[in-house]
Formats: sequence, C-alpha cells, structure tokens
Amino acid sequence: MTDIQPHTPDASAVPGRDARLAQALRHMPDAHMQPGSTTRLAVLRAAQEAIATTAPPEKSGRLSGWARWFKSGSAPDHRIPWATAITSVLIVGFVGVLWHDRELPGAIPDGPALAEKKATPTATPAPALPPEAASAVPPEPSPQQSESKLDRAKPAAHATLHQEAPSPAFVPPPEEAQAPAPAPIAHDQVSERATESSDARLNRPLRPVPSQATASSGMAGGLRANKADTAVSEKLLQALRALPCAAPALDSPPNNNTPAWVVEGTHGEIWTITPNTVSLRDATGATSLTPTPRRICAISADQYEQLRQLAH
Amino acid sequence: MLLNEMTDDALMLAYAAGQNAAFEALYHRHEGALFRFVRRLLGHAQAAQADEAFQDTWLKIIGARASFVPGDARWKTWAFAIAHNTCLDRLRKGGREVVLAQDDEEADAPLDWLQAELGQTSHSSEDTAHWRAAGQQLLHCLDGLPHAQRVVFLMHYEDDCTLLDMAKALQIAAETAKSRLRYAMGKLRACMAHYLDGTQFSKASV
Repeated sequence: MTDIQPHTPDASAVPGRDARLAQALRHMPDAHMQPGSTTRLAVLRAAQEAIATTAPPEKSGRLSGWARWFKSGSAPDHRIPWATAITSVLIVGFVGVLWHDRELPGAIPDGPALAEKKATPTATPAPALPPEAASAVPPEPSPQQSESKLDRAKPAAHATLHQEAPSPAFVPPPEEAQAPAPAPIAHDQVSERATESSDARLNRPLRPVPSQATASSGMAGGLRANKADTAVSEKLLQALRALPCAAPALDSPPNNNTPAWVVEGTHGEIWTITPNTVSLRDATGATSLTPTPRRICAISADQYEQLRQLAH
Repeated sequence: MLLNEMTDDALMLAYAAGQNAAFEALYHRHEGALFRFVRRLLGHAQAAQADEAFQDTWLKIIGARASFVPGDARWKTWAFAIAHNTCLDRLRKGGREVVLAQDDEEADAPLDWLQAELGQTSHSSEDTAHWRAAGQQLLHCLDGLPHAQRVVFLMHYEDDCTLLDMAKALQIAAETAKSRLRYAMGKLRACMAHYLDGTQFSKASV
C-alpha cells in the first residue's frame, strides 16, 4: 500500500495530488455562494461596535493597573459602584489624615482653654476685657493651694438660689481650681453690669470671688461666673441690705484666701460675701473709678450661715 | 504596510488593537471560504441556517479577538474550528444525529485510489457540465458523510489544513484525524464512483 500523502503534514503541498477532487469541489453548486448582504453588514457592524465600546488594548495597556481597574468598575456592565466606594475610602482617609494629631472632640480633657469656653456666657455678650487684664497670666498655684481652693469651691456650689427661677446647679468652672486667688470685681466690669437690666441681674448666681492677688484674672473669672443664669433670692438681698453694719469695720477687701460669693442686686450693686465680711459696691461710675469697696461690714459666723441658708 | 499584504494573524492582531479596517480586510478575504465551509458542514437539510451560523461564527471570532494568539495554528484553521463548533451546536439543537467518532473499519480503504484518480489529467473531463455534475454529486456525497468525517475532509481540502493542525484545532488526536479522513475518502470514493470510474476518470497507477 502506498503511503497516504494527506497523512503527512506537508501532504497538502503536494501538487496535483487532489487536483481532481479540488476541481469537483470548485464546481459544487455552493462554490460561489456568498452570505447575504444583511449578514455581511451585521458582522461588520458588530466588529466595529466591539472595538468602539471597549477601549483599545494598546491604550488600556498604557494605563496603570489602578486606572484600568477603576475604568472596569465604572463600565456599564459593572453594576458594583466601585468608583463610589473608592471615593468614599479616599475621603475618609483624607479626613483621618487631617485629624491625625488631634484627639476626638469627646476625648479632649477639660483643660484651661475648654474651661474658659465653658465659662464664656452665651446668653449675654461678654464685655471686652482691659488689655492689662487680658494679658495678665495667673501664677501657677501649688498643688496644696489648688486643693484648698477646690475645697473652698465646693460649698460655693451650694450657694445657688432656687427661689425665683429654676436654677441649674452651680458648678464652679474648672479654672477656678487652677486659678490661684480670687479677686474683687473690677470697676469697669461693674459699670458694664450697670447697663444690664435688673431682671437679668436678678438671675445671676452666687459665685466664689477670686483672690485679689490676681485682681485682673480674678476679675475676669468673676465676671464670667456672674453670667450664669441663676436666680438670686430677694430675701438674700434684703438680708444683705439689712445687715447691721454699724461701722465700716474694714477698709480693706476681704482676705485673698477666703472664699467669696458675688451677688448682684437689682440695682446693679455687687455684694461680695465671705465667711467674715460682706462688701458692697455700687455700679455707679464713681464707684467704678475707685477700686476699693465702698462699704465692708464684718459679719459673724452665724450671719454667714444665715446668708448661706437664704442662698439655698 | 498595506492591509492586503498583511497575514491573517497580523490582521487579527491589528483588529484586536482597534483597527476596524483590518477586520474588514480579514472578513473579505475569508468570507466565501468560511461561508462554504459552514454551509457544507450544516448540510443540505439545514442549509437555511447557514447565514445565521456564519454570522455566529464571525461574532465568536470578534468576541475572541483578545484571546487570539498567533503561532499555534493559522488564523484560518482557528476560524474554521470556531465555525465547526458553531455548526455542531446547531446540528445538535436541530435534532440531527451527530456521530463524532464513527470508525468504520469497512471503509478503511486506502486513499491510493483517489491519489491515482487525482493524478490523472483527463482532458475530456474538462467539460464544464461534467464538473458541475461532479460537484453536485460531491455535495450529495458530503451530505451523506458523518459530521466528524465531513469536517475533517472539508478542513483538509478547503483550508489546506495539515492533519496535525487539524487535530490540534479540533482537539482530537492526530491518528483520529487521520483515520477519519481515510473513512471520509473511502465513502466519497463509493459515492463518486460514477464520476471516478466512468469514462471521465480512468484509473491509472501512480
């Protein structure tokens, strides 16, 4: 048996081997048939649309892997909003970088700055501080001093009056524990208060007065404390006015280290109450020019306790 | 480089790169051969589906443009294999029995008869009517071939595809392709006996 030429890979290249069969194939009835024109157009249109809808591989090859992945995610056949997810992650990351060195708002401890903010009145605008007062820096208290001031501030928290208005509990601002000493109320502060309505003043709280050692800073602290909305007992005011102050017992302001409350009267007068003295200053312009209180009366411990009772 | 001078592989790669003109050149180059191949594979009974199968074949080629890797086989062989699969699906859906492996030992006749016949040049057979009738008969004979043998025969004679390439494209063993081709030739000999054994074809030894 002869070798079968088509079985070898090069068999088709042998000339004349299948000439007759090829001749028969060429004369088959469908030898010259062509597909319909609609089929041809459909194929060519499909080929054109296929490369029109998708990016050319050469161009996409030049894109980075991220860009290609991003483009594939935004393709119409991909319904997963990858682009949106990536954008969200980027925004979150950006915000995270912005807050990298900061603590979360809720985790910020009550530092001096925050305490000042808390003490800043919101109901009434704070008066502008004098430059010397603003620039004054309170001396750093010793730990014992801070503790003692904290202890003194505690009873003052109970000095809120409840008679005329629902009064929120008095909470001493945090800086008072750090502020070394209370100070008497400054004159300009008093004059500012004189311009306020008496009804508003009636709702001022009793405040521990800062030490005079830091008059300017204490003034600022007292001013801020007076902005709290706490009702002042009319009975307390009456008792203060009726105090038997036979003679100006003292010409000097109260001791720096004694706790003090500040009560504003209906006419703008300022009552500063300590365990052994009660001082009154008017809100008039003349008074504001003189730093010393106009009248300082010595009171006994019983009188002080009565005033506290009235304050409650 | 002109598109007409480019190889099929280069045209396909150019199309995959975004050149639509390359595809048009490729299409016009192989439109007729691929259509005939599809039509003959489907046979006379399903010739009406030739257009659809032809279109499906090209759509598959378009869809597979990115996965086309030149070198393993010629583009035409690759395209014919796609057309074969497309037609096979249609034949199966159409309920026509498709026997892929029909190794008929009876038909295991050598092809030397065909080689002997084809080696002859019969001037009297140059008659157009004769070849037209032979073609008609060959079409009829092809219809009678099993699908597996028909595709091997058509790929070998239409595509000039070697047995090895054919086996690779159809994912069959080379020996299987070889035997199928032999069975197909044996049946065609029997079917075309009138034209081969008659006055038109005189036997002669090679």
